Amino acid sequence: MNDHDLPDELTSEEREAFASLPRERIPPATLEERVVGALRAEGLLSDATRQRAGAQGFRRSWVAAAVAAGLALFVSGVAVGHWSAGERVADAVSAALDHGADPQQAATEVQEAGSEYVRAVAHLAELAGQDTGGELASGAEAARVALHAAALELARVRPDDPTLRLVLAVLEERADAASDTTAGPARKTIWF
Amino acid sequence: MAIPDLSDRDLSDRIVRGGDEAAFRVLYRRHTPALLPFVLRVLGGAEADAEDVVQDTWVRAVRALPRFRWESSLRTWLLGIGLNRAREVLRGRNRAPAHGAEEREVPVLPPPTAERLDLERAIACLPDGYRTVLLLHDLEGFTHPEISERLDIAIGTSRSQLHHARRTLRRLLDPAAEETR
Repeated sequence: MNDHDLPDELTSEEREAFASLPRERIPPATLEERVVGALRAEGLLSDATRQRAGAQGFRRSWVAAAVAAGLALFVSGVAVGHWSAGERVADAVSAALDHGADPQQAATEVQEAGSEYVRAVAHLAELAGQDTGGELASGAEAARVALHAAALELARVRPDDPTLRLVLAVLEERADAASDTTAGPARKTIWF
Repeated sequence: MAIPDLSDRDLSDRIVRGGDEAAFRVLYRRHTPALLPFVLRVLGGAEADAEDVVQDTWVRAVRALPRFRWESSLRTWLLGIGLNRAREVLRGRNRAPAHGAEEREVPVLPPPTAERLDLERAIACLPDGYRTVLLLHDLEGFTHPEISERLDIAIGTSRSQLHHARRTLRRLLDPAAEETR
């Protein structure tokens, strides 16, 4: 007696129904990293690979920390801005998130951009004391745009990060507020 | 030849010789899309358990790769490891106090007024033993002797499990029609 001699053989409709069930499914992205991590822990993947992966992990965490620090400065209410510095932060973040980028170089660029950003904060603090409101406003707007771009880039990689979502909400709220004050002082780039 | 173009055997050689992570990732991406739904069905749709089983399957497979003789395809071998691991999880569930000491043989039937279930949900409702045999036979195309060997059960048991699985499945899918058979 072979398999098909059974009294309850499938009907053609039932066969079609079974055949239509999907045989493949894209696994969640996190699962691959879990599996690779487990294999590394077992020593089944090489040390050289671990070092490369470690560098990438360092890069990701470093960039996240750098962006978080930059955003924290802005969100904390310090009116800062320098288009060039802000743009460099965004560029450095993009470079660091690019898989082809050298992690050490990307980290250095972010660090340099961050230092320039801090200098911009100090300079704007001086300007604030000199009542140069127009320059302050344009600088703050430039910083907001650059940081918003950087945050969106990071959100692309970490869409579910609750802190990042909160920061984006604050930035977007500020963007709305800024667009409501179009009658403000003429925009002007400040160079440091 | 680029790594993604290498055969399963060449990729496996790289993993065995040097723990090549890039080669492993290619192998993982090639076979996990089939492995995941297979173990998910064996487990009756438990997503978290299925991911754990996929992870354990790959760890066991990579450990055993040096001894794999390539008498079957890598995918068939992987599904076999996944099946064994999933059955261990099912046995663990059945040993848990919440499920009682004995293997669940009564299907989780929907209430009498429930509408027809879709096939995927109905399969998930089958008792573990029925479901496993049905999946191997009707979805994966295994014969009863092959199922007997894989599950370490008698061929007659495999036939009987399949018979009961199909009857139960029909009852779940269309209670009214099954009554008239």
